[in-house]
Amino acid sequence: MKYAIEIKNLKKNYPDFSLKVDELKIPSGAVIGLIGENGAGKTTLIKSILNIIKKDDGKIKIFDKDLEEQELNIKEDIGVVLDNTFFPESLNSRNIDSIMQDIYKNWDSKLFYKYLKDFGIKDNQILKTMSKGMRKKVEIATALSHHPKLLILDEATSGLDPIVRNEVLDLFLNFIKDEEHTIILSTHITSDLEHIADHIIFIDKGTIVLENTRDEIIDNYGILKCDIDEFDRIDTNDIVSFRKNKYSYEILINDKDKCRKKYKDFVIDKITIEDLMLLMIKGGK
Amino acid sequence: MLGMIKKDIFMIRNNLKTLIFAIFIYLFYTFMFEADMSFILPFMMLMICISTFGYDEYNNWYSFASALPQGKINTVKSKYITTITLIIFATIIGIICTFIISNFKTTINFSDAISSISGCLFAIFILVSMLFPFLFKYGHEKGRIAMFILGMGAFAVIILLKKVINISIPTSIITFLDSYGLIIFLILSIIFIGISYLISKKIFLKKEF
Repeated sequence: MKYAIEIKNLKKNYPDFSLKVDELKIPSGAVIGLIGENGAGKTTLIKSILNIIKKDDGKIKIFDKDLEEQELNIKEDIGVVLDNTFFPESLNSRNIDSIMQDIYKNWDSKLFYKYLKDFGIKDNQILKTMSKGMRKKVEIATALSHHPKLLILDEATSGLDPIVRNEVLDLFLNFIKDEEHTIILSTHITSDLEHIADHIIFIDKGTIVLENTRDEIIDNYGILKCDIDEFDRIDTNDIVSFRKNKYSYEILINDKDKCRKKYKDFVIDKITIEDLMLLMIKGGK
Repeated sequence: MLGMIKKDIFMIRNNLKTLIFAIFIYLFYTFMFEADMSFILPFMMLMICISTFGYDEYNNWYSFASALPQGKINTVKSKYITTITLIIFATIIGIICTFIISNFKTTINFSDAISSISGCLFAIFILVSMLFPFLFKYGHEKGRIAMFILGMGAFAVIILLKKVINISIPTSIITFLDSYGLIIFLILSIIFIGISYLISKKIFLKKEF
């Protein structure tokens, strides 16, 4: 398998937070959903991959090249949308086109204006007068217009209305049709990931707690529901985490088939990524 | 790097009114009071260029710039190149204005004004070289405070030398500066700014956003 990103023993320490990734391999040609609560380490991981922050230890390879040794070449092939808006407010899209022509070797003005047209953005409108969603669209168009191989999107779909968000997700799906292309999408809108993600990486308190394909997560994980007095009948080895409600328990299990055979009297529901996040972070163990 | 320079120019373009206002003040004072106000234009230009640091911070530009190819190095390089180029440009406008005024006002000597403008330009370059590492290290707000302290410090040193210690410059040094001052200023400016750039680059490469 070809990997877009390979990370080994990555460490980044702050006084009140540490990111620690022993090993992470992100396959090419896939959409990777990065999930976790605020402050879990998603942005730190993204910024480490982009070398915006200096790691304390570890190795990062992108497109099979060492990030530190070949940063310039690597970054030519990466499109970025960060969580905060980043273009100066006084610029318009024409200015951005002019700036980017001298930053990326492969900058494609035609493509940039095509995206803007598709998004319904006038090229002479200054960013200051745009809504947050419109500014995000300009940033997405910018990230896509130098023919990158890797798109790194930190909360790129937040602030967009559902219709535009769907358009943008379709755009990402179109981008990923090329097997060389990869997307890392960090988002709190987990339904977006159910729509497009191939892999899910779940970060909690600076470490990766779950990494698997979306299908395997949806197929294997489930929520077993039982009454309070039935809870003791569930083998603790089958419980990943649980949430106690007023009259019942919701138990996160990671082997749905096995549990269906073992606990025939219980209801086992399909899991959503949001449920998974909630139960893994907030659930008891 | 050209892209980063363009970005700063596009932002500065919005401050064109401030610069035109500065030109008017300069013309007015020089014409009406025959006063030497040669520092105004390059100084105003410096202030405008410094304001781009504030806009960059406000707009989270640095984190995005760090994700671009050669982003961090080009950010530092472009700030120096843009600022120096625009200060020289403002100085040239000042020289042209002075030349025009000197044709109407006989009390204004053009060659004296050129010496004064060169001195100002040198002082502004020294200010740039001292200030920019502060701006890159501590950001726009704290950098402005540093500029104020530097300015006040320089002013205090001049007053001290002139009033308290009462140092008189020997005529031989004045004659030497008359002949070679411009070249010396130029060489010193290049050295100061070169060192300043290297310090700023080191600071900015270590910085995280």
